[in-house]
Amino acid sequence: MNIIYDIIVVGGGHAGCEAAVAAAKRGANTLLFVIKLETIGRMSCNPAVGGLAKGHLAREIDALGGVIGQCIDKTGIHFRMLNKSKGPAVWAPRAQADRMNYQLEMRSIVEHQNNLEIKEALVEELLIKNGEVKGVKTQYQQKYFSKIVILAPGTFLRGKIHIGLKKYSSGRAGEFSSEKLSKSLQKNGINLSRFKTGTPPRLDSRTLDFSKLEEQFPDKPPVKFSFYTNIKPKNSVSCFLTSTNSKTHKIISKNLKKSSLFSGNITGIGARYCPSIEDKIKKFPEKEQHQIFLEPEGLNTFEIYANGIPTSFSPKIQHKIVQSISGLEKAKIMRYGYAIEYDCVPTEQILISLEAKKIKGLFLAGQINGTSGYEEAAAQGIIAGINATNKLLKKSPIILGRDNSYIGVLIDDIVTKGVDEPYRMFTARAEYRLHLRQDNADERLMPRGYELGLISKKRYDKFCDALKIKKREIKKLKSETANSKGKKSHKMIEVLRRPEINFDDLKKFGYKIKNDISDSLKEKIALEIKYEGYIKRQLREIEKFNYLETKEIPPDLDYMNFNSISYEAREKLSKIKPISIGQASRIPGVTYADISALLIKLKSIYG
Amino acid sequence: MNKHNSTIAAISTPAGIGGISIVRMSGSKSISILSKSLKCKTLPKNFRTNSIHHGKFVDSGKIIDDVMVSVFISPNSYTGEDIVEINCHGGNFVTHRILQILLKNGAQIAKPGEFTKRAFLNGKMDLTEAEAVIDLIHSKTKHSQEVAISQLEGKLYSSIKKILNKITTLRTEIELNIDFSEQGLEKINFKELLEKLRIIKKEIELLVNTGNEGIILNEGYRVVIAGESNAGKSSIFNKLVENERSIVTDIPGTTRDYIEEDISLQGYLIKVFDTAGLRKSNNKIENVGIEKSFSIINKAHLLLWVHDITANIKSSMKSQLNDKDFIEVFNKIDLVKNKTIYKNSSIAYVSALTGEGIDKLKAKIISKIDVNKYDISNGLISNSRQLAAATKGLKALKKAMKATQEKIGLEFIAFDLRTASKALEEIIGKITSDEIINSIFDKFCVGK
Repeated sequence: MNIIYDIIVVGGGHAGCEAAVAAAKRGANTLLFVIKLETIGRMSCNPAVGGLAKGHLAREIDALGGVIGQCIDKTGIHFRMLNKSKGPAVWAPRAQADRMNYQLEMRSIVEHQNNLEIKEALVEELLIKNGEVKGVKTQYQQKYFSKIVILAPGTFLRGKIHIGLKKYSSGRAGEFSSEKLSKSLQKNGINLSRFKTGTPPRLDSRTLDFSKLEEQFPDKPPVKFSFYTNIKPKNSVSCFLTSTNSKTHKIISKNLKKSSLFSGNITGIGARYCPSIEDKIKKFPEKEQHQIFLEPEGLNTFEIYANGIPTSFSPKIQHKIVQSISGLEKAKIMRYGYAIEYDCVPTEQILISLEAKKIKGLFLAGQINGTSGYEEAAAQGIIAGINATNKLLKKSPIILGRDNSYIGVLIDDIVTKGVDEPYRMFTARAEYRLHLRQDNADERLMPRGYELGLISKKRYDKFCDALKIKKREIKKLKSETANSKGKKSHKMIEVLRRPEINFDDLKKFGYKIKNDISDSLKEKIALEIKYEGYIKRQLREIEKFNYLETKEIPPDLDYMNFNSISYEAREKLSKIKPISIGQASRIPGVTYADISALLIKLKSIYG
Repeated sequence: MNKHNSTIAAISTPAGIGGISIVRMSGSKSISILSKSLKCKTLPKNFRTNSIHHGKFVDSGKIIDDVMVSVFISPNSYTGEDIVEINCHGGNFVTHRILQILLKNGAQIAKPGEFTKRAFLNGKMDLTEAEAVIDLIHSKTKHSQEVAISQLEGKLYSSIKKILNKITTLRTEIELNIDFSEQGLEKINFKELLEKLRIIKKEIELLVNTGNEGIILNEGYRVVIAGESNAGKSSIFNKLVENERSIVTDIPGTTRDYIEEDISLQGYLIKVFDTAGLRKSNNKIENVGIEKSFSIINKAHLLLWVHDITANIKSSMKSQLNDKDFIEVFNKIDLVKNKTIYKNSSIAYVSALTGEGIDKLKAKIISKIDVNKYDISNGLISNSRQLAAATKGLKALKKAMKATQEKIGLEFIAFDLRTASKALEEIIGKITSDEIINSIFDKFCVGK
């Protein structure tokens, strides 16, 4: 019964699900391994999708044909567009999910996918022959063969949980870790390093004093993540705000020695943007309070996620901390916060396609590549799924550029610059932020998704229709003159350029608005016109950028003989093997002088 | 395979007779080439780095000179390659003879700036330093050398670095506000931001202004002689440069193109241009010359507008010369008997024939060069590439101010500031988005 699968995916989290669905959709005979069927698509940390830059990623994954957008639209219970007070390039959708529903929905999506088989088993070993992956072996010593393996194990590789000074092996609270797979990777020449992350305590909403909490309402109507779907999100609950105070900080300072972080128990590297509350107090003692978002976990539970106080103190101290906070004086903890350490793979060992450099046919996605966050994981998942199938089809991998998407920025960053702490996306990481907006992710990526067979004809047609309407309206705005009662006449487009005017306001100037224009399209047209000057400048920058990106570097180039390049740069270039001058110039430690010298060298060798 | 592996040599002390001259050679074959003509107690192949040796420079058994040789072995040298410097007795003959022998034995003649280029390529200096050295090599006068030396010391670097730090601080605050807006941080105060931008703008403006001066000092002050046909422009040119390069006749329209000559006045490098007379002509070739004249005039720092004092003064063409700084020059005063008419002190009265008034004209030219307006000790932008970058930075900063006034969105201000940063980084090296993000984490407590 030795079936040979096309692709085996190990891990059913946010990366693994996207990878498995993308591969199966594209026709690959795919097998997905999960440790527990019930935990497919589980949100290990906060019950939310999106936020700054992450919302951009989620919309891009949706436009490319991924599942995260539809899953959150169906299971979200509180939708908000963040940063509305800033300009439109940094507006970001975010939604609270009903945690249980989210994972049920994700399980349903993967189970309904054709070509996709799902199996509960713990993968313990990679089968590798002559530097090429051949399949995997489970804890039952069964072998499964495949041409490609995608690893997406999240925090499960030698996961170790810390609460207070107690520690135990676990992949997530109450779940097994994967102890042997790490060894199998190391045996095959893959180096591992250790990262750390953490979660806050979860509270019982019946024990909170809501009169002392500030309510944060969802946006009405909600802005969805998925493009051109008919999903009607539920949008019914509020979040609540409170903050820590001097009493909280005193408790933490007094107990620092009892924390797993500062007692020397934890050696993994944590992220600076997601510090535990004990970290925050130690590093910024002058700050008087830290904000806490109280987020409902779902419609059928009283559980509340206390976003802002991740901690790995002992249960006793966690109680003291929580009850020192305004509105939480009588709060009961339903689940304790904890820190978790896990193995990951330093990313100089993977190609920009996400395939391992040393083991052919092995792709890595998600936290194993040192990233953190569901959206970051899902982004790598879909790309790994696409590039794995491309490899089966003997096609070259797709590489989304920094000028085209946050997904492109993410992957270029991790493989070019390396990851020395858990990597989270920020809009500040994107040079071409004015172009990489959440509202135009469809224009940037849907044609690609359709070509790859991940976007259905039906959705693609809707996209094309919207594009046609947009073009029609822009033409109309340029040609029609506004009705301005005897004053100097302007074209409609000039009127729309004024900051205080939105699309619907044009009616007052005699513009007829057809009813085939959706609200999101009106907003998109208005902002493209208002910010046209900036967008054009950004596009010119992108042109210049592409010039260096298309200057390819031969893959077999031997840098070590190039004496005019600094030794440090030569070492780094040899390790990363950049595919273009553009990528080479982003490697830390490679200077302008090195790049000039490299260009001169390439010219002298290749003319 | 590697072009830069050739060994190069050149005389590195100024031409002319001095006490000692130095011939420098750089490259992997320096030692072996030297060993062919140096008689010395220690064999050249055993020379250690940073050592000096006394010996006799010989060719085909004949002693050429008694020399001292300084040795710097790779990578401990200016260029990063093996360098030998032969200190010989000054005098064109001996120095050139030694260079010729090195070339005969396998070295190649170095192009101007090539030692520095190698130093740059081997990571021995950064781009501003390399440019300053090249400026130093090319600088022909005393003032130019001052600029080049202060730049080499990194004054320009540190002034730009200071400006960049200020921009980086603002960018950090803005990025923090964008990416962590949900964390109850203080909102950006647009009024304060505008004030900070205004200060930075002033600093860049100062740099750009010094840029114009720096270029005058380094690339020369461009004086263009223009005016009506046959007013004696070429004769004045010749008097100024004191040689007979221009072809002088009394037929109108003899100078059909332009002629350029470098002179040194009180330590300043002056580039003097002689142009074709500006008159309407049916002669096609001459018209090409007139067009060229206009393009030269456009790049001038100063125009000498020449009239024939004996002719009817027409200044019809002058209106086309924009708002260039100019000196009016009345030529051929030798033909005028009544000298009392020379009363207008803003006009230079000269006779190119006798040389009368030429020194006064030179003094007027010097008085027009106003380089002491700015404090050179803060470092000076001294070439066109740097000026273009600083100007680009200034433009972006002005856009950022406009965006701030209009409150159109922080990410647009961030975009303009990033453009400004990138422009200034072109002069001194780059700042990455990671540095901004790191600075956010170092300075602010953020994250959920």
